[in-house]
Amino acid sequence: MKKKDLLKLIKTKSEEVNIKDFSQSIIDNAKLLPQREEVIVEPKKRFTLRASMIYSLTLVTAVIAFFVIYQPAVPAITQIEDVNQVVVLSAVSAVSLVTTSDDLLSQDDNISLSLGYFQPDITIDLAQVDDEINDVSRYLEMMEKLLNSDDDFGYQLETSNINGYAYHLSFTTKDLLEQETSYILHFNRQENVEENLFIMQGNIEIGDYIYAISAQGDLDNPQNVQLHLEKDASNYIDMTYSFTENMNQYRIQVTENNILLQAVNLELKYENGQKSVYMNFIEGQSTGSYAFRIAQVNQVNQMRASYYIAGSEVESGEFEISVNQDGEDVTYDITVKPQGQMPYVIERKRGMSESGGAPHRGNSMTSL
Amino acid sequence: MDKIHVIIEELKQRDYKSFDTFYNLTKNQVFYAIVSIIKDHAMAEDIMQDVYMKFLEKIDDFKPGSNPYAYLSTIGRNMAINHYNRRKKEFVSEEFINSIPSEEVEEVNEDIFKILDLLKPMERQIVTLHVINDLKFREIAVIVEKPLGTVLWIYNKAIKKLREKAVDFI
Repeated sequence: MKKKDLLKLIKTKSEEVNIKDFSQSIIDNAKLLPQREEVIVEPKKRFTLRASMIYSLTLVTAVIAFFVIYQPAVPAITQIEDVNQVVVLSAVSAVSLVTTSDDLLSQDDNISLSLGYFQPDITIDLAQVDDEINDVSRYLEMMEKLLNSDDDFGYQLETSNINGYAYHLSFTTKDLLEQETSYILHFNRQENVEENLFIMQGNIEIGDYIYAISAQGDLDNPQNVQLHLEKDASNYIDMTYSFTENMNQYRIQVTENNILLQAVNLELKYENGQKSVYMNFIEGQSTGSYAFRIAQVNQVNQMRASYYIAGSEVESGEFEISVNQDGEDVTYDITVKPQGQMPYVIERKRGMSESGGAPHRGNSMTSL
Repeated sequence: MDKIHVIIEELKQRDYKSFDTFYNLTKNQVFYAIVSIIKDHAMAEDIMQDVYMKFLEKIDDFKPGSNPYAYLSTIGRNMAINHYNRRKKEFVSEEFINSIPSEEVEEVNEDIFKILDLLKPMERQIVTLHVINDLKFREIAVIVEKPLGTVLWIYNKAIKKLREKAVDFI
Protein backbone atom coordinates (compact mmCIF):
# COMPACT_ATOMS: atom_id res chain seq x y z
CA MET A 1 0.00 0.00 0.00
CA LYS A 2 1.22 3.46 -0.85
CA LYS A 3 1.96 5.74 2.06
CA LYS A 4 -0.43 8.37 0.73
CA ASP A 5 -3.25 5.83 0.62
CA LEU A 6 -2.46 4.58 4.08
CA LEU A 7 -2.64 8.05 5.60
CA LYS A 8 -5.91 8.73 3.82
CA LEU A 9 -7.26 5.39 5.08
CA ILE A 10 -6.37 6.17 8.70
CA LYS A 11 -7.88 9.62 8.46
CA THR A 12 -11.08 8.36 6.86
CA LYS A 13 -11.53 5.49 9.27
CA SER A 14 -10.93 7.77 12.27
CA GLU A 15 -13.74 10.04 11.09
CA GLU A 16 -16.15 7.12 10.88
CA VAL A 17 -16.13 6.66 14.62
CA ASN A 18 -19.10 8.14 16.35
CA ILE A 19 -18.06 10.19 19.35
CA LYS A 20 -20.83 11.20 21.69
CA ASP A 21 -21.65 14.84 22.08
CA PHE A 22 -21.07 15.86 25.69
CA SER A 23 -20.88 19.56 24.98
CA GLN A 24 -24.06 20.50 26.84
CA SER A 25 -23.19 18.64 30.03
CA ILE A 26 -19.70 20.13 29.90
CA ILE A 27 -21.17 23.62 29.60
CA ASP A 28 -23.51 22.91 32.50
CA ASN A 29 -20.60 21.81 34.65
CA ALA A 30 -18.39 24.65 33.47
CA LYS A 31 -20.94 27.17 34.68
CA LEU A 32 -20.48 25.76 38.16
CA LEU A 33 -16.75 26.41 38.11
CA PRO A 34 -15.69 29.08 40.58
CA GLN A 35 -14.75 32.42 39.05
CA ARG A 36 -11.03 32.81 39.08
CA GLU A 37 -9.83 35.85 40.93
CA GLU A 38 -6.69 37.54 39.86
CA VAL A 39 -4.07 36.57 42.38
CA ILE A 40 -0.66 38.09 42.49
CA VAL A 41 1.63 35.37 43.70
CA GLU A 42 4.63 36.76 45.41
CA PRO A 43 7.67 34.56 45.76
CA LYS A 44 8.08 33.06 49.17
CA LYS A 45 10.32 35.06 51.37
CA ARG A 46 13.51 33.29 52.24
CA PHE A 47 14.96 33.92 55.62
CA THR A 48 18.34 32.66 56.57
CA LEU A 49 18.09 32.52 60.28
CA ARG A 50 21.19 33.28 62.16
CA ALA A 51 22.17 30.99 64.96
CA SER A 52 21.08 33.73 67.30
CA MET A 53 17.50 33.27 66.19
CA ILE A 54 17.57 29.54 66.24
CA TYR A 55 15.80 29.50 69.51
CA SER A 56 13.17 32.05 68.75
CA LEU A 57 10.50 29.46 68.40
CA THR A 58 11.81 27.67 71.44
CA LEU A 59 10.95 30.79 73.25
CA VAL A 60 7.50 30.80 71.81
CA THR A 61 6.98 27.33 73.20
CA ALA A 62 8.10 28.51 76.57
CA VAL A 63 5.71 31.42 76.49
CA ILE A 64 2.84 29.15 75.79
CA ALA A 65 3.88 26.70 78.44
CA PHE A 66 4.13 29.58 80.83
CA PHE A 67 0.67 30.72 80.04
CA VAL A 68 -0.60 27.21 80.39
CA ILE A 69 1.00 26.86 83.78
CA TYR A 70 -0.86 29.88 84.93
CA GLN A 71 -4.22 28.55 83.76
CA PRO A 72 -6.24 31.51 85.01
CA ALA A 73 -9.50 29.66 84.90
CA VAL A 74 -11.06 31.81 87.58
CA PRO A 75 -10.83 35.47 86.69
CA ALA A 76 -10.29 37.49 89.80
CA ILE A 77 -8.55 40.53 91.15
CA THR A 78 -5.28 38.90 92.00
CA GLN A 79 -2.79 39.50 94.70
CA ILE A 80 0.54 40.89 93.61
CA GLU A 81 2.16 37.50 93.97
CA ASP A 82 -0.40 36.08 91.58
CA VAL A 83 0.26 38.74 89.01
CA ASN A 84 3.94 38.05 89.21
CA GLN A 85 3.22 34.41 88.90
CA VAL A 86 1.29 35.04 85.74
CA VAL A 87 4.15 36.97 84.25
CA VAL A 88 6.73 34.45 85.27
CA LEU A 89 4.78 31.49 84.10
CA SER A 90 4.07 33.17 80.82
CA ALA A 91 7.71 33.89 80.28
CA VAL A 92 8.78 30.40 81.20
CA SER A 93 6.20 28.92 78.91
CA ALA A 94 7.59 30.93 76.05
CA VAL A 95 11.04 29.55 76.53
CA SER A 96 9.88 25.99 76.66
CA LEU A 97 8.42 26.11 73.16
CA VAL A 98 9.86 24.86 69.97
CA THR A 99 13.49 24.17 69.36
CA THR A 100 14.03 24.75 65.73
CA SER A 101 17.34 25.01 63.97
CA ASP A 102 18.01 27.20 60.97
CA ASP A 103 18.71 24.12 58.88
CA LEU A 104 15.38 22.74 59.85
CA LEU A 105 13.68 25.95 58.87
CA SER A 106 15.32 25.93 55.46
CA GLN A 107 13.97 22.52 54.59
CA ASP A 108 11.21 23.95 52.46
CA ASP A 109 13.51 23.77 49.47
CA ASN A 110 13.83 20.07 49.96
CA ILE A 111 10.46 18.71 50.83
CA SER A 112 10.69 15.08 49.99
CA LEU A 113 7.66 13.25 48.80
CA SER A 114 7.64 9.53 49.05
CA LEU A 115 5.85 8.48 45.92
CA GLY A 116 5.85 4.84 46.83
CA TYR A 117 2.13 4.71 46.50
CA PHE A 118 2.18 6.34 43.07
CA GLN A 119 3.27 5.51 39.62
CA PRO A 120 5.99 8.04 38.93
CA ASP A 121 4.29 9.74 36.02
CA ILE A 122 1.10 10.54 37.87
CA THR A 123 0.61 14.22 38.26
CA ILE A 124 -0.13 15.23 41.83
CA ASP A 125 -1.20 18.72 42.53
CA LEU A 126 -0.91 19.37 46.23
CA ALA A 127 0.94 22.60 46.03
CA GLN A 128 -0.74 24.28 48.95
CA VAL A 129 -0.25 21.60 51.56
CA ASP A 130 3.30 20.99 50.35
CA ASP A 131 4.05 24.68 50.74
CA GLU A 132 2.59 24.76 54.21
CA ILE A 133 4.23 21.64 55.59
CA ASN A 134 7.47 23.41 56.30
CA ASP A 135 5.76 26.16 58.21
CA VAL A 136 3.76 23.61 60.16
CA SER A 137 6.93 21.63 60.88
CA ARG A 138 8.27 24.56 62.86
CA TYR A 139 5.50 24.09 65.37
CA LEU A 140 5.61 20.33 65.76
CA GLU A 141 7.97 20.33 68.70
CA MET A 142 5.89 22.96 70.37
CA MET A 143 2.80 20.83 69.82
CA GLU A 144 4.56 17.79 71.28
CA LYS A 145 5.28 19.65 74.49
CA LEU A 146 1.94 21.36 74.78
CA LEU A 147 0.03 18.14 74.24
CA ASN A 148 2.18 15.68 76.16
CA SER A 149 3.30 17.66 79.22
CA ASP A 150 1.51 17.82 82.51
CA ASP A 151 -1.02 20.63 82.68
CA ASP A 152 0.96 22.57 85.27
CA PHE A 153 4.37 21.61 83.83
CA GLY A 154 5.34 20.72 87.43
CA TYR A 155 6.35 24.31 88.04
CA GLN A 156 7.95 25.54 91.25
CA LEU A 157 8.40 29.18 92.24
CA GLU A 158 11.18 29.95 94.71
CA THR A 159 13.46 32.76 95.78
CA SER A 160 16.36 33.11 93.41
CA ASN A 161 19.85 32.38 94.65
CA ILE A 162 21.40 34.35 91.82
CA ASN A 163 22.54 37.89 92.46
CA GLY A 164 20.38 40.50 90.77
CA TYR A 165 17.23 38.37 90.62
CA ALA A 166 14.51 38.05 93.20
CA TYR A 167 12.68 35.00 91.92
CA HIS A 168 13.40 31.60 90.48
CA LEU A 169 10.82 29.54 88.64
CA SER A 170 11.43 26.10 87.21
CA PHE A 171 9.23 23.87 85.13
CA THR A 172 9.48 20.80 82.90
CA THR A 173 8.05 19.77 79.57
CA LYS A 174 7.70 16.31 78.09
CA ASP A 175 7.82 15.36 74.41
CA LEU A 176 6.44 12.43 72.41
CA LEU A 177 9.43 10.27 73.38
CA GLU A 178 8.66 11.06 77.03
CA GLN A 179 11.94 12.95 77.27
CA GLU A 180 11.90 15.86 79.69
CA THR A 181 13.29 19.35 79.22
CA SER A 182 13.94 21.61 82.19
CA TYR A 183 13.55 25.38 82.12
CA ILE A 184 14.63 27.88 84.73
CA LEU A 185 13.53 31.49 84.82
CA HIS A 186 15.27 34.07 87.00
CA PHE A 187 13.37 37.32 87.13
CA ASN A 188 12.46 40.53 88.85
CA ARG A 189 9.09 42.21 88.89
CA GLN A 190 7.85 45.74 89.26
CA GLU A 191 4.38 47.01 89.86
CA ASN A 192 2.83 50.37 89.20
CA VAL A 193 -0.39 50.41 91.15
CA GLU A 194 -1.36 53.86 89.91
CA GLU A 195 -1.22 52.70 86.32
CA ASN A 196 -2.46 49.23 87.20
CA LEU A 197 0.54 47.75 85.45
CA PHE A 198 3.07 45.10 86.19
CA ILE A 199 6.34 44.55 84.38
CA MET A 200 8.51 41.51 84.61
CA GLN A 201 12.07 41.16 83.32
CA GLY A 202 14.48 38.30 83.49
CA ASN A 203 16.42 35.52 81.82
CA ILE A 204 15.38 32.03 81.00
CA GLU A 205 17.76 29.08 80.80
CA ILE A 206 17.42 25.97 78.69
CA GLY A 207 20.51 23.84 79.08
CA ASP A 208 23.45 26.02 78.11
CA TYR A 209 21.30 28.66 76.46
CA ILE A 210 20.01 31.82 78.09
CA TYR A 211 17.48 34.28 76.71
CA ALA A 212 16.20 37.61 77.89
CA ILE A 213 12.48 37.91 78.32
CA SER A 214 10.02 40.57 79.46
CA ALA A 215 6.30 40.68 80.01
CA GLN A 216 3.67 43.11 81.12
CA GLY A 217 -0.02 43.21 81.88
CA ASP A 218 -2.74 44.66 84.00
CA LEU A 219 -2.40 44.13 87.69
CA ASP A 220 -6.09 43.43 88.01
CA ASN A 221 -6.47 41.29 84.93
CA PRO A 222 -3.95 38.46 84.62
CA GLN A 223 -5.97 37.02 81.78
CA ASN A 224 -4.30 39.42 79.39
CA VAL A 225 -0.53 39.38 79.21
CA GLN A 226 1.89 40.56 76.54
CA LEU A 227 5.29 38.98 76.34
CA HIS A 228 8.26 40.13 74.33
CA LEU A 229 11.28 37.96 73.76
CA GLU A 230 14.07 39.39 71.75
CA LYS A 231 17.42 38.33 70.51
CA ASP A 232 18.20 41.78 69.24
CA ALA A 233 16.32 44.83 68.05
CA SER A 234 15.55 43.26 64.68
CA ASN A 235 14.74 39.70 65.72
CA TYR A 236 12.04 39.06 68.28
CA ILE A 237 8.85 37.31 69.19
CA ASP A 238 5.72 38.94 70.51
CA MET A 239 3.07 36.97 72.18
CA THR A 240 -0.32 37.93 73.53
CA TYR A 241 -2.23 35.68 75.84
CA SER A 242 -5.87 35.85 76.77
CA PHE A 243 -8.22 33.51 78.52
CA THR A 244 -11.76 33.48 77.26
CA GLU A 245 -14.59 31.00 77.38
CA ASN A 246 -12.49 28.24 78.93
CA MET A 247 -9.91 28.57 76.21
CA ASN A 248 -6.31 29.63 76.38
CA GLN A 249 -5.68 31.75 73.33
CA TYR A 250 -2.31 32.90 72.07
CA ARG A 251 -1.32 35.14 69.25
CA ILE A 252 2.31 34.65 68.27
CA GLN A 253 4.24 36.95 65.96
CA VAL A 254 7.69 36.02 64.78
CA THR A 255 9.73 38.95 63.47
CA GLU A 256 13.05 38.39 61.79
CA ASN A 257 15.29 41.07 60.40
CA ASN A 258 12.51 43.57 61.10
CA ILE A 259 10.09 41.65 58.89
CA LEU A 260 7.04 39.98 60.30
CA LEU A 261 7.69 36.44 59.18
CA GLN A 262 4.65 34.78 60.54
CA ALA A 263 1.73 35.19 62.88
CA VAL A 264 -0.37 32.38 64.21
CA ASN A 265 -3.30 32.06 66.56
CA LEU A 266 -3.27 29.12 68.93
CA GLU A 267 -6.10 27.84 71.05
CA LEU A 268 -5.56 25.25 73.71
CA LYS A 269 -8.62 23.47 74.95
CA TYR A 270 -10.04 20.21 76.18
CA GLU A 271 -12.54 18.32 74.09
CA ASN A 272 -14.06 15.11 75.41
CA GLY A 273 -11.36 15.00 78.02
CA GLN A 274 -8.58 15.25 75.44
CA LYS A 275 -6.21 18.14 75.04
CA SER A 276 -6.23 19.78 71.61
CA VAL A 277 -4.30 22.63 70.07
CA TYR A 278 -5.84 24.58 67.21
CA MET A 279 -3.50 26.62 65.09
CA ASN A 280 -4.37 29.17 62.39
CA PHE A 281 -1.86 31.00 60.27
CA ILE A 282 -2.96 34.62 60.12
CA GLU A 283 0.08 36.43 58.72
CA GLY A 284 2.71 35.26 56.28
CA GLN A 285 2.63 32.91 53.34
CA SER A 286 0.70 30.10 54.98
CA THR A 287 -3.07 30.22 55.37
CA GLY A 288 -4.09 26.86 56.77
CA SER A 289 -5.86 25.80 59.94
CA TYR A 290 -4.74 22.78 61.93
CA ALA A 291 -6.03 20.83 64.93
CA PHE A 292 -3.48 18.71 66.80
CA ARG A 293 -4.09 15.87 69.22
CA ILE A 294 -2.09 13.06 70.79
CA ALA A 295 -2.91 9.49 69.82
CA GLN A 296 -1.45 6.19 70.90
CA VAL A 297 -0.73 3.49 68.32
CA ASN A 298 0.63 0.20 69.68
CA GLN A 299 1.42 2.01 72.92
CA VAL A 300 3.56 4.55 71.08
CA ASN A 301 2.70 8.22 71.18
CA GLN A 302 2.04 10.00 67.92
CA MET A 303 0.31 13.23 66.96
CA ARG A 304 -2.57 13.54 64.61
CA ALA A 305 -3.64 16.71 62.95
CA SER A 306 -6.48 17.59 60.68
CA TYR A 307 -5.87 20.41 58.24
CA TYR A 308 -7.92 22.77 56.11
CA ILE A 309 -6.31 25.14 53.66
CA ALA A 310 -8.50 27.64 51.89
CA GLY A 311 -6.19 28.90 49.19
CA SER A 312 -6.70 28.97 45.44
CA GLU A 313 -8.42 25.64 45.98
CA VAL A 314 -9.65 24.21 49.25
CA GLU A 315 -7.51 21.36 50.49
CA SER A 316 -8.16 19.28 53.56
CA GLY A 317 -6.98 16.06 55.08
CA GLU A 318 -4.99 14.66 57.96
CA PHE A 319 -1.43 14.26 59.15
CA GLU A 320 -0.14 11.40 61.24
CA ILE A 321 3.10 12.43 62.89
CA SER A 322 5.39 9.98 64.62
CA VAL A 323 8.91 10.40 65.96
CA ASN A 324 11.60 7.98 64.84
CA GLN A 325 14.83 7.69 66.77
CA ASP A 326 17.81 6.01 65.18
CA GLY A 327 20.84 6.65 67.34
CA GLU A 328 21.39 10.38 67.32
CA ASP A 329 19.10 10.90 64.35
CA VAL A 330 15.59 11.81 65.34
CA THR A 331 13.08 12.48 62.62
CA TYR A 332 9.41 13.04 62.10
CA ASP A 333 7.55 10.73 59.77
CA ILE A 334 4.62 12.76 58.54
CA THR A 335 2.00 10.77 56.69
CA VAL A 336 -0.09 13.24 54.72
CA LYS A 337 -3.56 12.01 53.86
CA PRO A 338 -5.17 14.52 51.53
CA GLN A 339 -8.90 14.05 51.24
CA GLY A 340 -9.75 12.08 48.13
CA GLN A 341 -6.14 11.42 47.22
CA MET A 342 -3.52 8.83 47.97
CA PRO A 343 -1.46 9.34 51.14
CA TYR A 344 2.24 10.02 51.02
CA VAL A 345 5.01 10.30 53.56
CA ILE A 346 7.38 13.13 54.31
CA GLU A 347 10.37 12.81 56.58
CA ARG A 348 11.48 15.87 58.49
CA LYS A 349 14.38 16.38 60.81
CA ARG A 350 13.38 16.95 64.39
CA GLY A 351 15.20 19.78 66.05
CA MET A 352 15.39 18.68 69.65
CA SER A 353 18.51 17.13 71.06
CA GLU A 354 18.51 14.00 73.17
CA SER A 355 18.11 16.11 76.23
CA GLY A 356 14.96 17.38 74.64
CA GLY A 357 15.64 21.07 74.84
CA ALA A 358 18.61 22.34 72.90
CA PRO A 359 18.36 22.57 69.16
CA HIS A 360 19.87 19.85 67.09
CA ARG A 361 22.76 21.07 64.98
CA GLY A 362 24.09 19.94 61.65
CA ASN A 363 20.67 19.09 60.45
CA SER A 364 20.19 17.42 57.11
CA MET A 365 17.26 16.23 55.15
CA THR A 366 16.78 12.52 54.72
CA SER A 367 14.74 11.57 51.74
CA LEU A 368 12.56 8.55 51.91
CA MET B 1 -7.28 35.35 14.56
CA ASP B 2 -8.77 32.08 13.38
CA LYS B 3 -12.11 30.74 14.50
CA ILE B 4 -10.91 28.44 17.28
CA HIS B 5 -8.80 31.14 18.91
CA VAL B 6 -11.75 33.53 18.81
CA ILE B 7 -13.86 30.95 20.63
CA ILE B 8 -11.13 30.38 23.19
CA GLU B 9 -11.08 34.09 23.96
CA GLU B 10 -14.84 33.92 24.50
CA LEU B 11 -14.43 30.91 26.78
CA LYS B 12 -11.90 32.84 28.82
CA GLN B 13 -14.65 35.37 29.45
CA ARG B 14 -16.91 32.51 30.60
CA ASP B 15 -18.97 32.93 27.43
CA TYR B 16 -19.94 29.40 26.38
CA LYS B 17 -22.27 30.17 23.46
CA SER B 18 -19.80 28.71 20.92
CA PHE B 19 -18.58 25.84 23.06
CA ASP B 20 -20.43 23.24 20.95
CA THR B 21 -18.55 24.49 17.89
CA PHE B 22 -15.30 24.29 19.83
CA TYR B 23 -16.20 20.78 20.95
CA ASN B 24 -16.89 19.61 17.40
CA LEU B 25 -13.67 21.15 16.15
CA THR B 26 -11.59 19.39 18.77
CA LYS B 27 -13.39 16.24 19.90
CA ASN B 28 -11.56 13.94 17.49
CA GLN B 29 -8.17 15.11 18.67
CA VAL B 30 -9.11 14.70 22.33
CA PHE B 31 -10.73 11.34 21.80
CA TYR B 32 -7.83 9.85 19.85
CA ALA B 33 -5.21 11.23 22.21
CA ILE B 34 -6.98 9.27 24.94
CA VAL B 35 -7.94 6.15 23.06
CA SER B 36 -4.43 5.67 21.68
CA ILE B 37 -3.43 4.93 25.27
CA ILE B 38 -6.35 3.21 26.92
CA LYS B 39 -7.94 1.53 23.87
CA ASP B 40 -11.46 1.65 25.32
CA HIS B 41 -14.05 3.68 23.43
CA ALA B 42 -16.51 4.16 26.32
CA MET B 43 -13.79 4.94 28.83
CA ALA B 44 -12.23 7.40 26.42
CA GLU B 45 -15.53 9.26 26.14
CA ASP B 46 -15.78 9.46 29.91
CA ILE B 47 -12.28 10.86 30.18
CA MET B 48 -13.05 13.34 27.38
CA GLN B 49 -15.47 15.17 29.63
CA ASP B 50 -12.81 15.47 32.32
CA VAL B 51 -10.37 16.78 29.71
CA TYR B 52 -12.69 19.57 28.63
CA MET B 53 -13.50 20.45 32.23
CA LYS B 54 -9.79 20.63 33.00
CA PHE B 55 -9.26 22.77 29.92
CA LEU B 56 -12.03 25.19 30.93
CA GLU B 57 -10.89 25.25 34.54
CA LYS B 58 -7.34 26.19 33.54
CA ILE B 59 -8.22 28.15 30.41
CA ASP B 60 -6.45 31.25 31.66
CA ASP B 61 -3.22 29.26 31.46
CA PHE B 62 -3.68 28.77 27.70
CA LYS B 63 -1.28 31.09 25.94
CA PRO B 64 -2.70 33.07 23.01
CA GLY B 65 -1.33 31.78 19.71
CA SER B 66 -0.63 28.28 21.04
CA ASN B 67 -1.97 25.28 19.18
CA PRO B 68 -5.17 24.32 21.01
CA TYR B 69 -5.19 20.87 19.40
CA ALA B 70 -1.76 20.14 20.81
CA TYR B 71 -2.79 21.60 24.16
CA LEU B 72 -5.92 19.47 24.37
CA SER B 73 -4.06 16.42 23.12
CA THR B 74 -1.55 16.88 25.92
CA ILE B 75 -4.26 17.14 28.57
CA GLY B 76 -6.02 14.13 27.09
CA ARG B 77 -2.87 12.06 26.99
CA ASN B 78 -1.91 12.94 30.57
CA MET B 79 -5.35 12.14 31.92
CA ALA B 80 -5.40 8.86 30.02
CA ILE B 81 -2.01 7.92 31.46
CA ASN B 82 -3.19 8.76 34.97
CA HIS B 83 -6.27 6.66 34.40
CA TYR B 84 -4.21 3.81 32.98
CA ASN B 85 -1.85 3.85 35.94
CA ARG B 86 -4.72 3.82 38.40
CA ARG B 87 -6.20 0.84 36.59
CA LYS B 88 -2.86 -0.94 36.63
CA LYS B 89 -2.90 -0.90 40.41
CA GLU B 90 -6.18 -2.76 40.32
CA PHE B 91 -4.52 -5.61 38.47
CA VAL B 92 -5.36 -8.25 41.07
CA SER B 93 -9.09 -7.74 40.79
CA GLU B 94 -8.66 -7.19 37.06
CA GLU B 95 -7.04 -10.60 36.68
CA PHE B 96 -9.80 -12.15 38.70
CA ILE B 97 -12.46 -10.51 36.58
CA ASN B 98 -10.72 -11.52 33.39
CA SER B 99 -10.64 -15.11 34.55
CA ILE B 100 -14.44 -15.20 34.62
CA PRO B 101 -15.87 -16.26 31.26
CA SER B 102 -17.81 -13.37 29.81
CA GLU B 103 -21.17 -13.96 28.22
CA GLU B 104 -21.00 -10.79 26.21
CA VAL B 105 -17.71 -9.83 24.71
CA GLU B 106 -17.82 -6.38 23.22
CA GLU B 107 -16.34 -6.64 19.80
CA VAL B 108 -14.24 -3.81 18.46
CA ASN B 109 -16.02 -2.93 15.26
CA GLU B 110 -14.31 0.24 14.21
CA ASP B 111 -11.59 -0.41 11.66
CA ILE B 112 -9.47 2.42 12.96
CA PHE B 113 -8.93 0.62 16.26
CA LYS B 114 -8.01 -2.59 14.45
CA ILE B 115 -5.50 -0.67 12.37
CA LEU B 116 -3.98 1.09 15.35
CA ASP B 117 -3.84 -2.21 17.24
CA LEU B 118 -1.27 -3.39 14.73
CA LEU B 119 1.17 -0.98 16.35
CA LYS B 120 3.13 -0.90 19.56
CA PRO B 121 1.92 1.61 22.16
CA MET B 122 4.37 4.42 21.36
CA GLU B 123 3.98 3.85 17.61
CA ARG B 124 0.21 4.05 18.04
CA GLN B 125 0.44 7.30 19.97
CA ILE B 126 2.75 8.99 17.49
CA VAL B 127 0.79 7.89 14.43
CA THR B 128 -2.45 9.01 16.08
CA LEU B 129 -1.10 12.41 17.06
CA HIS B 130 0.38 13.05 13.60
CA VAL B 131 -2.06 11.49 11.18
CA ILE B 132 -5.36 11.92 13.03
CA ASN B 133 -4.67 14.88 15.28
CA ASP B 134 -2.62 16.72 12.63
CA LEU B 135 0.13 17.66 15.05
CA LYS B 136 3.63 18.48 13.87
CA PHE B 137 6.43 16.13 14.81
CA ARG B 138 8.00 18.92 16.82
CA GLU B 139 4.83 19.24 18.89
CA ILE B 140 4.57 15.48 19.27
CA ALA B 141 8.15 15.29 20.52
CA VAL B 142 7.21 17.69 23.33
CA ILE B 143 4.06 15.78 24.20
CA VAL B 144 5.64 12.32 24.32
CA GLU B 145 8.85 13.71 25.81
CA LYS B 146 11.12 12.15 23.24
CA PRO B 147 13.73 13.67 20.92
CA LEU B 148 12.47 14.76 17.51
CA GLY B 149 14.72 12.22 15.80
CA THR B 150 13.32 9.39 17.90
CA VAL B 151 9.76 10.44 17.10
CA LEU B 152 10.51 10.47 13.34
CA TRP B 153 12.21 7.10 13.54
CA ILE B 154 9.30 5.51 15.44
CA TYR B 155 6.80 7.09 13.05
CA ASN B 156 8.54 5.83 9.89
CA LYS B 157 8.86 2.36 11.38
CA ALA B 158 5.14 2.35 12.25
CA ILE B 159 4.10 3.54 8.79
CA LYS B 160 6.24 0.87 7.16
CA LYS B 161 4.56 -1.75 9.32
CA LEU B 162 1.08 -0.47 8.49
CA ARG B 163 1.78 -0.35 4.74
CA GLU B 164 2.34 -4.08 4.90
CA LYS B 165 -0.46 -5.02 7.27
CA ALA B 166 -3.28 -2.55 6.75
CA VAL B 167 -4.16 -3.65 3.24
CA ASP B 168 -7.10 -5.69 4.56
CA PHE B 169 -8.90 -2.56 5.66
CA ILE B 170 -9.10 -0.86 2.30
